[in-house]
Amino acid sequence: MKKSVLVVDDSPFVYYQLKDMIDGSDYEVIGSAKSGEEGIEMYHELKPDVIILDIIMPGIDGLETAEILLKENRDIKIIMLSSLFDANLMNEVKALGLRFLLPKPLQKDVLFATLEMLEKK
Amino acid sequence: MRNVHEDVCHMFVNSFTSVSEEITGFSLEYNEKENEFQSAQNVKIQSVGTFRASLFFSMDKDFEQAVFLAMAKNISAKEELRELLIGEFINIISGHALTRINNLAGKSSRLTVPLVGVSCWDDKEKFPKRCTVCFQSVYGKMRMDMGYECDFC
Repeated sequence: MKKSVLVVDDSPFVYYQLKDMIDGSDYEVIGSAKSGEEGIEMYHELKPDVIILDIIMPGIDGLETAEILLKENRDIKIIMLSSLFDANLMNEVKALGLRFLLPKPLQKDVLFATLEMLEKK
Repeated sequence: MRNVHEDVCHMFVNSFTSVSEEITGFSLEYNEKENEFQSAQNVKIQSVGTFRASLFFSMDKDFEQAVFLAMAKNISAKEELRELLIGEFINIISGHALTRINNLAGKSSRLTVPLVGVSCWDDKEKFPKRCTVCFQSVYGKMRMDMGYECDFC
């Protein structure tokens, strides 16, 4: 059975890019949310195995969204995504208890290596 | 003595040219001479934090179309997503530039959501320092005007 992925990003580019990369693998993209608020709703509805979560979004940003989700369930598997990927931002991601911040544009090999490492959590 | 202003401008030039090709598949070259062209699309994005800036991008029609097609290549129902895709392009190239600045300065700044289709650069007067960089590709031209101030400049 494939592992399910929820994409939370206001950009359709990321959703389609991910879908393109993931199709045919052990993962499948089951939903797409355009904001943190919508992402939280869709998490409750779909219960994905992995969430790929952009940081810069209208409304609540990805870090706040991750914080809310982690308060509900510390075992949620989240990969943060951002066009920014400096050391300070990485520290903010780690402070939430998360391990992965991927830079945009996504690279397929990096994505799959990260998914593999996430499974070993 | 290092010229911080030149360093900042160069960081944007280098980031834009390197990551732009990665996204679109075509190269973007820095053009030292200022471009004059009819802008078909403008995008504004801001940086907040220790590096405060307003970046105003202008693209000619051919460049905007080339970026749009490159970003949309796997997407159906494309036209209604045009502004989102152009905005994402600007978000990614700006993010790479700001990442370099953040890492070198050891500081933290963040980008806002890009505004696509703005008619003019309405907040440039807020920023004391200016940087204009012009780019050329086989498809067309782009220009970035940036006003900025920073705690470490």
